[in-house]
Amino acid sequence: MSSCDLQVILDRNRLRQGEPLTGEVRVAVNKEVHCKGLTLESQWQTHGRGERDKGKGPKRLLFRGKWRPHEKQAYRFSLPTASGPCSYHGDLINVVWRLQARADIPWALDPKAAADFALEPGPVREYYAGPEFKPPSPGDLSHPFVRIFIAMVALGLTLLFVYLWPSSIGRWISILGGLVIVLGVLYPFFRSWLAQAKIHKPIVMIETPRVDPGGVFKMRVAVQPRRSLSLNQASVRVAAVESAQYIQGTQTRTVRQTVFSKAMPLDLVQQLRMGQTARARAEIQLPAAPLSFAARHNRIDWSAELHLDIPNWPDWKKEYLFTAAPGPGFRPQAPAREEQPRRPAPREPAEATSPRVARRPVETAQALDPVDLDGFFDDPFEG
Amino acid sequence: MMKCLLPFEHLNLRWNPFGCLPLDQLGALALIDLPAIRPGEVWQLIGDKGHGKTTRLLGLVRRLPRAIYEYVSPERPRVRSSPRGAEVLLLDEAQRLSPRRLRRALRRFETIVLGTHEDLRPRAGRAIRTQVLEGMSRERLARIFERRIEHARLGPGRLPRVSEGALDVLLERHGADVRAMEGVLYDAIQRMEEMRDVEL
Repeated sequence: MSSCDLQVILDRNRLRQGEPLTGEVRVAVNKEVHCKGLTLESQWQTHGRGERDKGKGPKRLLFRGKWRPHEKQAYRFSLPTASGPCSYHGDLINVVWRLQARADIPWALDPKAAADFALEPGPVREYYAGPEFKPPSPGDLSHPFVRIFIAMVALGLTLLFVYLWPSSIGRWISILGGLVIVLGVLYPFFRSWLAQAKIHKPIVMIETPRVDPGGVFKMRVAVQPRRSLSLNQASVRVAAVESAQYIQGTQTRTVRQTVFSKAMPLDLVQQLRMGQTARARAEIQLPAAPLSFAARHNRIDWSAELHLDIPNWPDWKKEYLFTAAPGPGFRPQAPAREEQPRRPAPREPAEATSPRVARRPVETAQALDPVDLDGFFDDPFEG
Repeated sequence: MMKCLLPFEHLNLRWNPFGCLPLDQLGALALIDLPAIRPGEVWQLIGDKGHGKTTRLLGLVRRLPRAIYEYVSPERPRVRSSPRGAEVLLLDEAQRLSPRRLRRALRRFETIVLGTHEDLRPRAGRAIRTQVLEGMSRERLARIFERRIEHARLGPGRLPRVSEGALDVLLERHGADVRAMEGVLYDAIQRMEEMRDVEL
């Protein structure tokens, strides 16, 4: 029998950020004991397809001193809620919170008790989106290097096969195979480069690098073609992707799932004239969840992909990261969980990755693309 | 609809039982079906991926006194554990060791259990008892899944169960690859919106 039994009772088990976590810890003492500290701590943990990540929220000391046998004590508490991450139920990732009471008893197992609660988004000065979260920064440079490395390896292997293969047919097969691999790996570069030969590099401005839960994502685009042409389509697709990393036997694997995806056609002039600037604005309503999150093994990324479909020519595509998180002015309208997408799109197959989570190349949401056209725009978004 | 406080509360579960578990919990749930391992013996568990080598070794480390578990990494395939303070070495992915390093480990530790994809007897230079992990009975599979589900229990009352039909489907599709089956069951639990048995 332990020296005492603890029980955590919450007044409310569903709270918004900024609201105090209140309740009481009840202690039933079995034998006289000196408690070095009865502490209360909120803790979050992920569970799901990936390895578990966890962290701690606010902590409070409730009592220190002696408990007498058969004594029953109740300690009221009021603890501030954490600035994140909020509770979440996704397909690969779940984030849950609990409040744990622990009595530090010397030379004995510490009695513990816990109560679950849900933390929902509320107004916060700076949302905590997990230990690995960084606001979107200039694009992931590792990705192009990886592609160039693969292309060089493919080229090297091709030359090796050409050198070793005795017959001329075999040599031609190796050359052809090698070229296909090299061109395939480098295609994304060629595509952008070719597309920009027709339309310059579009200027993109994300007006809302941080979007409140259930808020509106806003983006402005300006395009000036090098020659008159008509676009088949111009669109923006906003997506939230869960990524969970797990160890399977000998390999670390990452599985991804798109849990929200919404496209919107851009109101760009279909017939673009040489030298004239076409401007468009996109506004896309986001769901209340998920919010951005990044921990060692689990992450949720929000991105917007701009897609310009040029007829009979490679398309122009680029992805921009942004953050979905409550800010100081956030006004909750409806409970977050009711608006969560229930059935996400089919999962992308798991792929072996290096310990770091591999991601598609992205570009910072806040940064404007550097424009090499002197005097091209004074204010590209004002007509 | 009343909202749940925890994601799988409607299934009386604290988490999806077929998601990723910490290694210590995985070991605690392991069903060990090996003969008694006596001091001085060397065993090898041979099996393909997903057949439960790691799970059994993690289970053994909890059950055998003074046992340590070590995973041989592909980057540095060597044994780092010291026999001081340990009597039994449980070595996972032992096929990565060179014959020299394997024989050195066998000399240093009195009792060893090796988890391996291939038969290590030709390079061991010492007698090794072998347990090949192959095949899976429906009863054993049902017990493995019951333990996983029970471990995720939230409170008293009913829990979902993997139906016999689902067990047959999994055995037919995946043989003895429990890891692949867990992936299928994870998705099935994610889709369940009310308490019932898991069907495929």
